[in-house]
Amino acid sequence: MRLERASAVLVAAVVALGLSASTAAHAQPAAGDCDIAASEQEVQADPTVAVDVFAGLWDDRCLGFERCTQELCVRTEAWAERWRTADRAGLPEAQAEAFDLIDEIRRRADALPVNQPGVATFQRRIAAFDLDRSGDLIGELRADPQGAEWDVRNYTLFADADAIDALAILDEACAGGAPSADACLATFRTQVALFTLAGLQTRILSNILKESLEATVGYVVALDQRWQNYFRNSRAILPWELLVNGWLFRPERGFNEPPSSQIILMHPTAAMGLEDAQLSDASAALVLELAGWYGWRWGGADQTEMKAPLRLPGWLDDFPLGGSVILGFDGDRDPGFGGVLHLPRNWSLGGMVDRGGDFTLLVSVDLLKLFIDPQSQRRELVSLFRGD
Amino acid sequence: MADRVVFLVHGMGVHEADWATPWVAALRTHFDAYPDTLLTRRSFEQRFAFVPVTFDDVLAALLQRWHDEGFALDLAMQQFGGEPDVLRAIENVLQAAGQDEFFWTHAADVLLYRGSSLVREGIKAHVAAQIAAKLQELAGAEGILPDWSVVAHSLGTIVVHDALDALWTAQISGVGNRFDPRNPGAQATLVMMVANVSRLLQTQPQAYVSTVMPGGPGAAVPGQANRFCGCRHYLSVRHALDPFTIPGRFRPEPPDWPDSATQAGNPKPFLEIAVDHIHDPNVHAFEHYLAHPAVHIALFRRLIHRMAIGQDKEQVALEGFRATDGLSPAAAIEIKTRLERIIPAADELWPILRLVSDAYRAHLATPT
Repeated sequence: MRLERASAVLVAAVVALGLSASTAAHAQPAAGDCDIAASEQEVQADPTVAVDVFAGLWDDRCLGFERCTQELCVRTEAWAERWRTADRAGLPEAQAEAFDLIDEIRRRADALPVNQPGVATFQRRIAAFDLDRSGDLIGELRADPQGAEWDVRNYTLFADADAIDALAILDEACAGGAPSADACLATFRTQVALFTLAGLQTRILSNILKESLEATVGYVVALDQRWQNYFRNSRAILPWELLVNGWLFRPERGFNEPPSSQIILMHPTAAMGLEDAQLSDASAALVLELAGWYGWRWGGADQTEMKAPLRLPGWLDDFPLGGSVILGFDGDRDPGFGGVLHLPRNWSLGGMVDRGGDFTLLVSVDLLKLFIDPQSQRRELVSLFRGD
Repeated sequence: MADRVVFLVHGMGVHEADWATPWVAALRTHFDAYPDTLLTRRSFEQRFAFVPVTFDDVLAALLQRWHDEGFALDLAMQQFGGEPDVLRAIENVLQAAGQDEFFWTHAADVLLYRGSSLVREGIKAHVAAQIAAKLQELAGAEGILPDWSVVAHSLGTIVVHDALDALWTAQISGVGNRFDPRNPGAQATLVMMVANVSRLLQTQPQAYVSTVMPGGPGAAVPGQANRFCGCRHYLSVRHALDPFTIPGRFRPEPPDWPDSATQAGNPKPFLEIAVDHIHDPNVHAFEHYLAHPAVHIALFRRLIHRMAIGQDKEQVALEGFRATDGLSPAAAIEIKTRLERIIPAADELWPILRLVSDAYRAHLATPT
């Protein structure tokens, strides 16, 4: 019995050791709660975990970002709230506060030991934000950030020759063969401080640029909507029409607005042919729009709706307009030539004359709907003309 | 919220709402293959949010509209009781558009995108809007852009190229463009082009001189003082037997593109990866590319950090990788022989893709 108990204790000890070894190798840092002091103790106790502990702090957004609890982080968060809600009167104050915060970040960076990796680079880069408060420098920063670039991601601050790669720095300072635990801890502390300041700077700049983000996304989303409406609601969209209209479209590099007019070409449609005043005698006719034009302007609250090409009164303003020269087929007679005007609500009205000189009034509606349920469409058409 | 967002952009062909599911499953499989690394110190879900970006809906709607117009015209002719030759010919063309044929479901995508400036511009805006809107959503109340990357496949590589260049260079009056690559978080961490056809199908700007170029924030595109490198890393991946990647191959000269100073970074900001394994007749498939450790390790290292997967783990993965996994030697040789037969010349121009598509379809349809 005693032997069994001893074996069980031994097995438990081995399992525990195995687990702790595994945990130490890739530990969830003690700083899961963003406790920087606890993280430092962990690194001091075992410098080989420095990379992992730092990665944990960064991944958990403890360094400068939303889970950072340091005094300057709290101050920045409070400023961000004021910045977001600042009205016109409060804006200069919030702007001045942003300058204060950036100055504070620079001061704290200047106080870091310059012999530590990355510090000199950081100090040089943050010096670019020595802003003149007398001008609208935040406005300038939005429009042209030249010289004030700032980027931190993947445990790395900046890029190229200026890159401060925290994990590589810690790996060199703290992995096997490192000079001492104290030296490792000093490097760890510096990297934590640098990346905290870097995170704060990112937050301040991002808040300042938020209006720009909204404007940029708003523009691109509305542009997408205009293009989708172009493909969905414009008239000349058949393959050969795309080819011709595409040839006439001269896009430049970058985003391009969709056209506000189209060439209609060899576009088939269907119509009701009315040879006399007896609307009940309406017959089916086939129409081939040989060539035509269809135009609109982009309007509406977000400039994504297709409106009349010229501003028109009332509901007439809500629809594109155009017209085409047509070849019409009406019953068993010879084809006739004529024209149609494209009117609001997807209606077209026109006429054609055949070789014998007979005139046929043409009214066309949505082709698909017309022939899926011809009787109801015909009734609707007739009732529309009678004003029912 | 995950640490980073990775936009996935599909290639040619029909893509339903869940098209990205197999891609994400493959990524997860390869992620799980590297336990006890910096990569897996956080879970797959903590590390990544994969967001599918779709442009097939634009093309499918267009083809459907053509088909519907043809259908209606056919009905109209039945109602009319006659069928003028010219209208019947038009009807035939339009009706074919909605049919489930390889040309209309695959090759037509390429022809429409490259051949129609209207379609191209519409798709550019559509893709850029999806990316920008998602980034805005994730930026939260403080507007902090998340770490973001783009992985594109086949036709998606040129679509992403054009959309990102437009996004990074857009002129927004008044407040400026938030996605100017000089602004915090505006650069993509990685642009990964799998079966890269961005050079073959390029228009303006051309693939080697656009902002879809690796460099630090503020690094200007060589020769263009006011345009800036849009990503930290650029991976171009090709398969030696993938016929779509042979003509107009993406291969910058000199190879230290965009310049030697940038390429001094660790890991190299630009990397071309060439693979030649055969696990399946469809060597063009994204998952087939991703299976190679050289591909997915390069991806994970650039998404996370170069230390995400150590060199020792990489060595083990490469040594354990079998070039013809799951196939008999005879089957692999047969696939290789068939693919070699349909590989076009390197100097062919983009219209060759129509023929390549036909030949590739025949290859996939042949039992192995």
